[in-house]
Amino acid sequence: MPSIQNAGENSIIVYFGDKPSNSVSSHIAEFCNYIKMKHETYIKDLISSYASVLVIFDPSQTNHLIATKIVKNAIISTQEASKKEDSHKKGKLVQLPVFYGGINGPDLERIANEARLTADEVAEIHQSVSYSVYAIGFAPGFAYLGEVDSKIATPRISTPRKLVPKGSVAIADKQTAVYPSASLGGWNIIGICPVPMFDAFQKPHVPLRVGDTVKFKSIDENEFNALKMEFKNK
Amino acid sequence: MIDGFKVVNGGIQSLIQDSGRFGFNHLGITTSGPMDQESFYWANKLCRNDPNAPAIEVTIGGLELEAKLSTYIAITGAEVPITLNDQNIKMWETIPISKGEILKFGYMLKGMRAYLATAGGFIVKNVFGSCATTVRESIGGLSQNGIPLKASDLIPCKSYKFLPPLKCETKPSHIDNEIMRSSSTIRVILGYQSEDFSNDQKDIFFNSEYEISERNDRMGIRILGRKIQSSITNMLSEGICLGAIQIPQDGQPIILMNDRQTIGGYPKIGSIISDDLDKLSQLNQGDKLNFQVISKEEAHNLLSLRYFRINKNTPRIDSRALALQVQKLLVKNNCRGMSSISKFLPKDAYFRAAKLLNENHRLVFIGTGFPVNGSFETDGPLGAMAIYESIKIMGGEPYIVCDNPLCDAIKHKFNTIEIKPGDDSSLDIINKYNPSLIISIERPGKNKDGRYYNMRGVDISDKCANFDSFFENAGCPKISIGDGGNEIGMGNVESHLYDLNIKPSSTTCDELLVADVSNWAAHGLLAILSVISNKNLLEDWNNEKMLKLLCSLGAVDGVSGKSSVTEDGFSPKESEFVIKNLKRLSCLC
Repeated sequence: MPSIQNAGENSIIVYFGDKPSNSVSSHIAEFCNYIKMKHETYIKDLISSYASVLVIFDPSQTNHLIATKIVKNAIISTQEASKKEDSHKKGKLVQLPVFYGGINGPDLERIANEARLTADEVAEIHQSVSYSVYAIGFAPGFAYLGEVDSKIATPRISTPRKLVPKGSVAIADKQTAVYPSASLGGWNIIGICPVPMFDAFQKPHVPLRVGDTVKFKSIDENEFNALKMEFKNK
Repeated sequence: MIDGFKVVNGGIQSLIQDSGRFGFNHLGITTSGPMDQESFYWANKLCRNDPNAPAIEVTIGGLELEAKLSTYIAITGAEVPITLNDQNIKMWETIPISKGEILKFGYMLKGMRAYLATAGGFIVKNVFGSCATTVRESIGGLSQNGIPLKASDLIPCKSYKFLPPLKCETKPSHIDNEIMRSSSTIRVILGYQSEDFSNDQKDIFFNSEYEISERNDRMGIRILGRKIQSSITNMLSEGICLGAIQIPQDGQPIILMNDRQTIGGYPKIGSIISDDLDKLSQLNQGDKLNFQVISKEEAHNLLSLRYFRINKNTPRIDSRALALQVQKLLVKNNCRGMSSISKFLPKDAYFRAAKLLNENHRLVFIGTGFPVNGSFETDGPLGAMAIYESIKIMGGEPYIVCDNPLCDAIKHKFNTIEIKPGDDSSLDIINKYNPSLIISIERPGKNKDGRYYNMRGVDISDKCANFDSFFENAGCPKISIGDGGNEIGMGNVESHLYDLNIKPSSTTCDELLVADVSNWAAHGLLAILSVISNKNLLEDWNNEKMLKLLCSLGAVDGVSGKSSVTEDGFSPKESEFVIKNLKRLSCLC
């Protein structure tokens, strides 16, 4: 049974398990859908992440007691449904093109060397997994994807880079992600993706949702440039 | 082109903020919004804005703006020296600002953040439902790209001619007390991983003094003091609420503020309540603080009290400042030179007169009526009637003192006292009624030669009764209203009237009020009296209806001398507009 904890004066947090799994992810997805379908005006936001959901409410309209009741109802009502259905049924499959290596993937060679693999093999292993979107946060549109094959899982670099370019595809331990915008970052960069992960002015603002599945697909420089132009002109 | 404020210097960091961006945390978009919410709300309240209207959060100081239009502003929050064209201005009240003036923030004397609101709010496009600037996310602000205000930006807003002069009488407690000098108590609800902190660790946290470090910004505030640790070695990232206290591996707590990342993977002991986040956002590096546990029920109660306080604490109208604006409004047309004359009167004459009327409304004589070709003019009696009705609402006993034909025309509707040309019975009348106040409105006053003249300089002494003697003989306070220079009371400014094309009156009074039309001055006086007495005295006054009634009783326009539904040439619409503006200024509508 998931546990409910206080978070702040306007929020409670629900823990669905100790670690992410298909059943935890699908329960989270069902739970969030259930609450959204209720259209309670005092529920302001739901932040799902790995194995938890932070429920933010409007404390001028409700309180912890009532919010907890709604949350309990939602947990119970979705428990069975989430067990029956296969994992990720609710989420969509998103394919993201990646131009691996070169100046856009400065850490690819190092990862390959450390893993005693070739750069192409690292890229292949990176493409071989269907990743779950476990969380979106840190920055707008930054999706935490897992889990990376342990053969290429690499710890964060010791000194974060001052500027990681927008679209950089990176690995940190068993997680991988696409940087939605240029930012500071300590992940290992292996390539670049031309699909915008965040656009404040165009829909969809963020192409991924928690619970979606992501597959990466290798493209060459020409394809990358062509796709980049395409998104630019959109 | 839309005008507004031009940024001369953006200062240390000045950000457009509304109340924040809600409902997009699940996309990784933070809440943003003002760090000191209550001060932000106050800035908007003082401008009569929606409490969430876009305003500017000025951190540390240095912001310099040039007004490209005339409007009103209000500044709240941390104590900071501010000048308008090098003249110091006050915080926590509405300030008029004129086109071309330079508004300059110094540096914070106490606290960290000040809020600048403008009437109607700054006009800024929304991104994800809000214009709040989040620098870290490159979202919001003037160009929707998260860039703080910088030199040569133009921040659009509307021009306002009149706005009620409002004042905050009781500042929020976190601003008013000595927060910066002593240790601040910050209240915390336990939550998240609080159970993974041992009782010993909790004791340390809640019984030690901490200090604000140099690493404090809109994202988070790192505090220094005794280190604490949880039993957790590895945890999954999870959603972070406003005010969460996270404890990284080094044991030095970080309080997550408005621009926090939406998820994070450090253990959290609990979260700080809103009242104390306002306090926290005004603390400087080196300021001391300590933490206190409260229950979630207590937190909810405090939050309800906070909402109640924010809604209930409405700004007061500064009636003296209101008087200045009323004066400005009423001589705007300057049709008979009264704008120039008003400069020789006390700036707050309308306030002083309203105060006199408020304190002495027991029994009031209102003298009026300017003879015109055997009739009487609309200007004067209409204002007298408005004052008459207000005195009745106040519980006083009013009398309109006038000569014929006006007296006969209105006596069936109003208590009147008739005075006759060439027959001075003022002493008898004063003794009989014992007035507490005498008002004259558009009542001919004697020239220094002892004669009465109309605006064209024609001697009207044989048709005009003597009301001046009431002013000379009564011991009570006297207020006079005029719009030309030949009325009772103008003696106060007689030497300045020789420049006008008029044979001025020498009769003096305690408070002289001037306006483009004397009737308008009556409404101005009543607007301020409404604020002082907390009664809406303009609410039931139907100016056009009363004007029509007066015209049907034989009144003529004083300027044209003809029978028309006008006051000194102004249509009922124009008078209505003036009254509407007076109501707006006094928050009576």
